[in-house]
Amino acid sequence: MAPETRKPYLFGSRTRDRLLILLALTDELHVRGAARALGKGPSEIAKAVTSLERIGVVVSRIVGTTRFVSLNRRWYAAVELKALLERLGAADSELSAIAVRSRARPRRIGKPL
Amino acid sequence: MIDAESSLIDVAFEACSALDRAGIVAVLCGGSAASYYCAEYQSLDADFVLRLDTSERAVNAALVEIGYRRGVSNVYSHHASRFTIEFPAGPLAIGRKIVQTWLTVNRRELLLHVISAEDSVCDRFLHYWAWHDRSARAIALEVARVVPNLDAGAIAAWAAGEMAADSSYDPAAWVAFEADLLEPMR
Repeated sequence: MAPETRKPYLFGSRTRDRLLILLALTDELHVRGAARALGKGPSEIAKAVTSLERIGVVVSRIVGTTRFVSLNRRWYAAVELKALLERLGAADSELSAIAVRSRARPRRIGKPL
Repeated sequence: MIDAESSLIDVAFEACSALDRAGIVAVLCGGSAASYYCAEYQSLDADFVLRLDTSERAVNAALVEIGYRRGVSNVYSHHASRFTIEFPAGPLAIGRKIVQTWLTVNRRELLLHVISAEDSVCDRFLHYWAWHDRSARAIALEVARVVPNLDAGAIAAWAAGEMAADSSYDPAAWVAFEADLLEPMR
């Protein structure tokens, strides 16, 4: 595809845009969960997380073998970024629906789904 | 020269000076800045924030001169030292507050740019405030204890600014911290 016909994205790629919006709507996600939610491979999401981490807008923490990702609350424009992402999320019914499904609540072990 | 006996702050002086010789301003921040003020706390990496337009190639070349090479995840390491050097993404800020002034300390022919003690206290407290890291809170209080004539008013003004902008920060956590902060000053 010629460069001038490519769709531009706010944060450099569709995956990065959607991942950031999803993080704003859910607070925290693990890489595999985000990959499943966005229909992408875990390696593609991990790559997006790494690049966003390098510019300081997201942070991740490892629990066991799981990498949890969230927006970086300490980033100097975190409040404005979250507001922008929430606004973009409000206009995207698909991502809003994914966010509702992705919300993690405590669940008693053994409780039927 | 950096060797196995060099402390984190020795490494920070060498790195900051090498970068300065290359025309690059790098300011020590994070846990390593707290280590500068409070020797009891020893971080294992020197965190420097650079100006946003700094060339990565120029940084690599400057650090190679003192034996540091870039490895995985953009961490610079030295064959003889356990201390690494990292460059967290800029701008230099403590939460929403852009840091525009810092200390420049000279040691013989070397220099070190480091955030102020007040900013270091804010930085460590913010670590606790944002991510509940209790050790960072303890370090903030330790920095405040060892640095004389700390400007507690500047720290309170910063905290008020953060709370005004982001309502998710717990005011009770600040109130408790401020009480602990002021206790040794009474």
